[in-house]
Amino acid sequence: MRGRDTYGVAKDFVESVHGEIGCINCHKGHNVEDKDEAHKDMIKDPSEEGGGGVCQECHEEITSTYKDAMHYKLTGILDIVGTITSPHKMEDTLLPEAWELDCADCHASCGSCHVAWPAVAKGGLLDRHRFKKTPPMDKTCYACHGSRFAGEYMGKLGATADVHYEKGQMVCTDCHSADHLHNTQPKGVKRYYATKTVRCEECHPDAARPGRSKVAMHNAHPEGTLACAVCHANTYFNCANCHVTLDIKKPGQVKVIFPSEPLYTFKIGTNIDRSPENPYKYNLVRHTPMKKDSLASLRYWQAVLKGKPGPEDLVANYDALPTWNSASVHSIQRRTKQNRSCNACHGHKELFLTKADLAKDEPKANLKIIVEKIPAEIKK
Amino acid sequence: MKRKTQGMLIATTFLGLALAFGTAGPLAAQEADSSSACIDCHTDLEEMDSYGAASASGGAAIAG
Repeated sequence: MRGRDTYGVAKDFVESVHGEIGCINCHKGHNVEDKDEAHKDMIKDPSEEGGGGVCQECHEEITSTYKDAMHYKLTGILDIVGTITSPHKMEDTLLPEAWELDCADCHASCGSCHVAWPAVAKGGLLDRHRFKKTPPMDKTCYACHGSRFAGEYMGKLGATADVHYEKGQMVCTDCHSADHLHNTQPKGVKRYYATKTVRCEECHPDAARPGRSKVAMHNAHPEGTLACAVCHANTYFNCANCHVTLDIKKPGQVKVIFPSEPLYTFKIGTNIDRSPENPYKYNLVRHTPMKKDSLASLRYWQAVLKGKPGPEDLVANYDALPTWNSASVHSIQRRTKQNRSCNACHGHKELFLTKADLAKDEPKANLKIIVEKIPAEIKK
Repeated sequence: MKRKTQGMLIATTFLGLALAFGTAGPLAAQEADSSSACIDCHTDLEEMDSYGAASASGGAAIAG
């Protein structure tokens, strides 16, 4: 395997439908031999602007919804940052600059999935500029979601791989269809777990319908009580501490570093984000890497770069959102340690998020997530 | 006379169709031609790989 190709374009691409359009019609630049002159005014990713860029000309239907889709808009991050820094206004802080330097790298253009590696994974072409109708999971989805969803799905985070990957050989798009990825529904939704996506019941209608199941344990729990993953997921990966610490390498250049130590847990929590797409009373919860001082260095850099420090209490509304959040754990197995028997879960306090799991400096909103009453051991 | 007019009409129609649809291929070729210098350089894979296949070897994988 030659590794990641960065500049090379296959000759057969030039003869393909997209290749026949001609490089400069999408990438601009100039058709001259001098390298510097040729690359002047060149657009590296012509599919990025407005959630479709040049792709809009032929793929109007997809780009008309993708411009508002979660993968392009990053509405989840915007909502979280906006909430915890309230009542400060973004323009009074260095957050817009931090957004451009870091967060915005996560948003996906058409090309980030269908032509190149995502920007956050340093870019580079997937396959000599050949367009991939179905993005290769291990290069695109994994490149952004490798530290949790895709990483645990493929068994690269220490626990078992997901049975759908291991035995079913399913790829991300088998569940997360192009329709869902290109068109976030319902409109205006801000978090991934509230979006319309495939549900376990669609493939397992008999197994997963409490009251009408062949599985006694399914019938024992009323509908809407437990997310499937509560019984069928293995231990999963969390981020323990802050991940937004700024490090300066050269004057004027800022880089994000990741000091978090890995944290493997299995915690059942109260679902405070119940919606038609996430109706369960209890869900697995994962720790989010956010501390009250996670953005503190922005104040310092605001002083350096703008001559005036930013707000002292930038994360003024820290208590508003929990740091234990609904998790879509992707380490699903039919048999797990907690579903071996009733009492493999009932009476096992360590499986539940309790007050004892909360660090002292964590937000008050975490108190809404803890499970107050642990289901008691079932006596015969 | 009538047959001759019909023949001319048919010939003209075919000529029109040929002009209308026959340009699709050359147009596409012209589009690619407009980037001939880019293509010459970027399809030289050996040369391109020498620039930076190894430069982007790491992944970040942070979004969860």
